[in-house]
Amino acid sequence: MSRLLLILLLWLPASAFGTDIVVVVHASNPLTQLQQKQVVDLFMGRASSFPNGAPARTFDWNAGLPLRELFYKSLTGKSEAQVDAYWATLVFAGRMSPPQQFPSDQAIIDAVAKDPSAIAYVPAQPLPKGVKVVMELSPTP
Amino acid sequence: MNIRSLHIKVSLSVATAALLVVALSSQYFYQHSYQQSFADSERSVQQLLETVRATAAIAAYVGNRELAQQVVDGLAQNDIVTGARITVGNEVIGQQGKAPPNPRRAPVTLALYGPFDEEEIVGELAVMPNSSLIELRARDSAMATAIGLAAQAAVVALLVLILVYWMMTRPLVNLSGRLHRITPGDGGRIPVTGLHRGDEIGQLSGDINALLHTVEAMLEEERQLRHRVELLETRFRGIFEDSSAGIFLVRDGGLLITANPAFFRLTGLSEQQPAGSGHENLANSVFLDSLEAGSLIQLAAVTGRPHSADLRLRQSMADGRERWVHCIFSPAGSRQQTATIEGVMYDVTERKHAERRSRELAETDTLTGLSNRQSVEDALHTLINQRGPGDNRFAVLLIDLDRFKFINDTYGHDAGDRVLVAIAQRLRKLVRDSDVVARIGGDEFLLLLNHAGNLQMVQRIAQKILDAQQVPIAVQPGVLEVVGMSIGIALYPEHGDNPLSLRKHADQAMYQVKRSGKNRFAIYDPSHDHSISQGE
Repeated sequence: MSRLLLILLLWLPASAFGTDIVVVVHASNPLTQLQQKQVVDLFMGRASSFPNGAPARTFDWNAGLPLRELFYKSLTGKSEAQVDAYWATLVFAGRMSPPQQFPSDQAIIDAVAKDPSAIAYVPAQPLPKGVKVVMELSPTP
Repeated sequence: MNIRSLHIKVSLSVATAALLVVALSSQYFYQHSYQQSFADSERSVQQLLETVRATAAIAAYVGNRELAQQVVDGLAQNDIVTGARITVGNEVIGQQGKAPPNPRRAPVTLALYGPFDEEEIVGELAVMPNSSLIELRARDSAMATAIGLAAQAAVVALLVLILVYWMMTRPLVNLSGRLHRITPGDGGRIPVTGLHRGDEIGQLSGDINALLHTVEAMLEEERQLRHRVELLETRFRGIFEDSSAGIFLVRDGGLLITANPAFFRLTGLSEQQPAGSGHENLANSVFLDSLEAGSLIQLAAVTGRPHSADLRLRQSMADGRERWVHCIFSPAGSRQQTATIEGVMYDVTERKHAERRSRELAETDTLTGLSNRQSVEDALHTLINQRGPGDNRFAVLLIDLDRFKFINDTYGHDAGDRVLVAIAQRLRKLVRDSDVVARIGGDEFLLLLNHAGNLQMVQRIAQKILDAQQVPIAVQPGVLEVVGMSIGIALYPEHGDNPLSLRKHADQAMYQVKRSGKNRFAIYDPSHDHSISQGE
């Protein structure tokens, strides 16, 4: 356990400063793999369901966290501010709301584990059984 | 105002040119401005689209109808857009306004790319430009430009017109008007104002003034000349018209050119007859002595010197006497001219008749009408001088009445005169007209018998004369007397070659008769200085 923790500690900074990000869903989700475009559509509010038709809920990190910035930059090529502005536009128009936000990866992982329609992103790490990875993101250098 | 005045012409020209410029440039600038304005509007539409592109793309990407509606609503707020529409695939997710039923233009479309994927077209934004408004604005703008331009051109044209009028047309019109009012000779001049001193108008005015001055000087000169000529003409015409002498010009040897009133008065020709139309020769129509007149005219023309003579006119005096004129023909004009002859004639009728009367008076015996002594002596001289030696015989008969003194003393002078007249008549009847019968003294007569061919003929005549005296003469009523005569005859040239000797020898012959008993004739006999042949 201590060794695992060590690895995690060693890995954390790496993930925090540009290490791989993984997109995770509930373990019961039949999907095994998602394309980057599908992920973009889900997170940017275009698609509200998985490609198989199952409804989807996106979980985000709190604004200002480095991972969030890294994630959106890697995924869409936009900065976090641009993405926020994007959501602001949609929210202002009404009927749309950005993904629910969480303060930590533990909270997100817990939330995903509880919600079969959930989809979220976390730094690459050993994951509990309740979630599974459907895509890996390698942050652009 | 004169429609052809310079000012009107210039004004019309400038106005026409300005109008043309305005029309053409307005046309051009209208088009240009219209297109510019139209392009501006198009660009505005494009920019409008660009403004909402990102939002529209988001709306299309997400398929958010609210956002799409907001976008098209916002677009439709613009005047230059009548409608807007956002489509995703075939689905319209936002629409505002309506497309015109028959859109003149295709809507302006803009492809919407995904906000997170520049490759993917997520939808389309289409707007319908407000064509009528755009056109209206373009037109308004173009019209404003054109009107502004036209106004500018009009103002410039007006300024040009005013300046041209002020600086050129008006001075020229003034100049023209002043010159028009000036009559050469009235001393009028064109004032040169300081404004135009040195420019072309000033120069023109100066030149005109100089010209006027020259013309006036010439006119004045000509006027004086004419005045002098008129004066001379009046004088000469006076001389010509009032002259009592007839003055006339003939050409071509006798055709009348002109003449003064005195000429027509003298000749009786009609003054109405136009000069030069007379086909008749003046010499024939005017002069009785036409041959002499004609030859005088020819002579004057040929010699170039005056020739004159006393000539008789065809027109006689009122009392029927012949009219005489002294006529001088002299060449007139230059030598080159075809023989123009000037004639002057003045009436010498009275003088001529007086001369004739005094000559007759001098030549005739007043009582008997026979020639007198002087006359017969002249005739004798003439006969001798005229005849050369040859065919020149004539006889001189000297007659003395035998009983004249007795009759005179007995019956008085009247009776004596009666005898003389009777004898004279008898003598005149007995000889030819060409013979001369003269009374040379109280009862002495002298006869010159021309062409006395021979002695027998002379004797026969002398005898006839003696025979005629046998008839008595009524010296008083009821008293008849026979008057005999003694005749002495001398023959030329046998008895003398000069008047004196002929008279002397006739006289000797007559005294021979007287001594031997009277009432006979005797012919001079040179052999013993006595008369030899005696008639009874």
